[in-house]
Amino acid sequence: MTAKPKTMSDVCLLLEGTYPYAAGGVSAWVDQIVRGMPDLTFSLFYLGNQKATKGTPNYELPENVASLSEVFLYDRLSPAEMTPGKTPKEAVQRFYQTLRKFVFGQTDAVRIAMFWELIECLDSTGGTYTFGNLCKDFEAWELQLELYKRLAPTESFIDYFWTTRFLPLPVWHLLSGRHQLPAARVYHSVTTGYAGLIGAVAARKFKAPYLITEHGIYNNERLAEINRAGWIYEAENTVFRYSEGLSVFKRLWVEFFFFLSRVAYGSADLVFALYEGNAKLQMDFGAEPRKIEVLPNGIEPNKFNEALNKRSERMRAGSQKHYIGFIGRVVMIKDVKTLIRAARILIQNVSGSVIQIIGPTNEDREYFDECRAMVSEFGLQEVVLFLGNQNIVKILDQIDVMILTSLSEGLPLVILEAFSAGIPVVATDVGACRELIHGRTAEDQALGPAGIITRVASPLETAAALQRLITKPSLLREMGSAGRQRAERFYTQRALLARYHRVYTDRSWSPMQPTSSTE
Amino acid sequence: MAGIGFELRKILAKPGYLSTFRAFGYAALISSGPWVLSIVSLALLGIVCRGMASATQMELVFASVTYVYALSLILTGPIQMVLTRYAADQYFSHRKGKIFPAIITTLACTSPVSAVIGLILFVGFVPAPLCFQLSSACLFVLVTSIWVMTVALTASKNYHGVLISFLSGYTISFLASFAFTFWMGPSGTMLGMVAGHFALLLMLLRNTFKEIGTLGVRNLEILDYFKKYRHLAFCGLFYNLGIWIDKVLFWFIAPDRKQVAGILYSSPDYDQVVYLSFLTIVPGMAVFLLTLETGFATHYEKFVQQVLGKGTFDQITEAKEGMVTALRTGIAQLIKIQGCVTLLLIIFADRFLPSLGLGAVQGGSFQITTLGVFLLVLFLSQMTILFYLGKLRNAMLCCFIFALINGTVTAWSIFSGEQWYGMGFLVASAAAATITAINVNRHLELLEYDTFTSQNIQG
Repeated sequence: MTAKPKTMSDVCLLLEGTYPYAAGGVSAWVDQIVRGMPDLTFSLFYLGNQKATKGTPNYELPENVASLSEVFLYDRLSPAEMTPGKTPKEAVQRFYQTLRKFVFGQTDAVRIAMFWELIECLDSTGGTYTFGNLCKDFEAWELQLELYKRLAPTESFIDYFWTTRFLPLPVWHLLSGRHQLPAARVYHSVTTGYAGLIGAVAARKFKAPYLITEHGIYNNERLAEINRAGWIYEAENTVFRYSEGLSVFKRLWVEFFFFLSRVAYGSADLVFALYEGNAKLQMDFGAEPRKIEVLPNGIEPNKFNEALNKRSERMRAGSQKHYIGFIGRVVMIKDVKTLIRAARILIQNVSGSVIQIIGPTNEDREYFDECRAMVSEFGLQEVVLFLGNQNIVKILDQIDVMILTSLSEGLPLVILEAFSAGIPVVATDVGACRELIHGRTAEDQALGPAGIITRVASPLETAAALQRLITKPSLLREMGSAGRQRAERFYTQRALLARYHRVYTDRSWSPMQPTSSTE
Repeated sequence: MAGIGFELRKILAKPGYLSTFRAFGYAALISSGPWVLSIVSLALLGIVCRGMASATQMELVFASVTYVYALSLILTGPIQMVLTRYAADQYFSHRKGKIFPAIITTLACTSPVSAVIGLILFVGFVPAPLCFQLSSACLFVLVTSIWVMTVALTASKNYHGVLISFLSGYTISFLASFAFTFWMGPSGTMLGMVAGHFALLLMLLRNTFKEIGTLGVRNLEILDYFKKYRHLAFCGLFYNLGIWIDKVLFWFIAPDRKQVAGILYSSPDYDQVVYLSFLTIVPGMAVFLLTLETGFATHYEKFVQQVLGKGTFDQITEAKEGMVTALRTGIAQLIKIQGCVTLLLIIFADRFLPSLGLGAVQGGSFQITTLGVFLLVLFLSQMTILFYLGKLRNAMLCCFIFALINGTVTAWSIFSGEQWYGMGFLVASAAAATITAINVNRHLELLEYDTFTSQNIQG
């Protein structure tokens, strides 16, 4: 804990692996929120991996940050925490009875109720129940065995044993952190998962409203990660596609994370999604539709006025060359190879096209080398240029059309930036791209399309869309202006801040009280 | 976030997992075996030398040698246990090279201590010719060193060589003693013993050096082991104390004890009987260790294989059942063989004891102590299992109970009349065997729980 808050802050942000340590979209967003509301005080509750690897902060904390607390989920437990404590027998019995009901609970409602009871049980032991108890108590072992017999009697026991021993470790760290939760008027977690769980605990403890904003969908991210994970044991030749096909141990992890999110969704008063697609996923993962609100990211379109004007002048002057811009990291998930293939098709039909790839190339060296090899194989050295990192605001006026070939996206900020500079966008149908290009609400859609949506991994469609735009200056202009208007009306930072400021300060939406709070 | 890897293999595949199990069994066999051998050779010597030395002179030799063996066993008990553990650990982690230096380091520590004790004891408290006193002290240092050296067996596994060494050592002892007694009486007998044991120590050293010797002779790691395995050290101490406490009490508090010279006492009625009945420990322990190796140990390895080799819980439990069955078979076999021997000896005690010069009262004590040895063998075999299961603390407590009961009940028996002689040893063995068996049972029942939950989740 860096600083202890003396007074109650207005908002407590629960941050899992992001601000102020990590760089990236979510951290930038948090910085935007905190700096954008200098009239409110924020306390930050940061959840990290290990203290030793937390690194140095990427952001300087603004004046209105009252405190920064830190909990590390995968740190070593102290010897004291690993030594079984002397807990009153009745308290222990109650704990294990509850744990049993929790583990074998048939419905999420039962499990969530038991989860809250477990915390009460822990509180009632007065800290005498340690992680060592959970590891060494015979009752815990019996429970573990029983679950094994029901769940995976034909699986490797040692792997089952360690999986089920490791699962509670981060939660233990997290719940140990509940004693240093800062008092705040509103709790707001910027993911579900562990941050969501401790957010729910905090809101319950302080009887305060609780908000969730999800940029990506936590459950989906964990699912993808677990799918790929080599460290979770799987019997050989197991074929899996999605959660039904996962090995028992992977399913345990998946269900564990899903449960964390359910607790968070269940306790939340408002759940924000960046776009409609995510809102739908949140519903699938158990968030009540009435709690969900779509609130996209916002930017400051006026910051791009200079680029907008310069670009319009350049476009008016006319040119034989067509500049296509790709802004993003050169990594597999951005599918730069499809772009290169599209470029080959495009220059066969339209001469004078230049495709500028702007963004870091050092993140996946191998992929970058493959891309470069592809470019020279196709003889496109003159056409496809890797420009590396550039100042986005300054380079936008050099772009006629923005292209995005990603395999997966959330709500890409580059599209909003392109819109602000009046640049139409050709993007694959992932994440919020369709909503951004065609509009989300009826009012939004009335502004007209701000680009063209293509199928994922389709060089033909991508090339065709680019060709349509660069050969039709009128269309280019229309779509560019639709984008600028869309950004100004629906995606401003002002609107974003205003909405959050209101939910932070305006209590007219009544927070749902937990049904059986005894704290 | 969820980036923690499972370190199962690293955690569970620690070397030395199966290490200590043989330690106790062999320690018992080795410490009682040579002792019994030396008793036999002394008795033989007594018969052969009858013409050359007086009975009192032979008694002096007898008592001195007994003191040397008893005291050296009690003192090196803890060292032997810990050193064996160390040797086993190094052996299993393929660092055999560290064993020889550890043994030499230990010898460098024990020899000066035993020299001082030996000199104080024999020069200070035993009125005898200086030559006798010095050779006795010398024998004490040698025997102590021999006990330390036998640890090398754990690593070299050269049982044959060790057996040869002991046999030749005792033969030399016997012959040299016989020869020197002619020449200079009891001091000569002692000198002969020294020569024989010196030869034995040299042979053990040579064997060990040939098998696992290195040029390094210093290894201070072993000292940390005494801190880490203090339960083991106490186990060795209590066990040897338990084995000797009844004899020591008979020497010092029995009404019919006999002062041989200075601090040297004997209790002829009890001593002879107990030494005789102790001869029967050897077949029992040998049988058990053999069945343990072939039965229990293989099943234990299967169990570990199932645990580490991703077996299901049913497979793990099945492997454990195999262990339990093997153990039961081993114990049953032990009871059959040792039981038959014991039964025959008890039934025919009256027939053959008089021919050894023992009377009716001693016959009763013999029957009691022979039964006691039978139970002692049961106790020792269960103890071996406790070591297998890594329950060092429980093993220590069992040994402590053994020593405590033997001490108290023996003291009581001494004051309650000679018909009770040997009861202390019998009751102590029975109690220790029972408690150890209960412990073994409980820990076998909890074996899966123990195996898994004793591992640290944090690696």
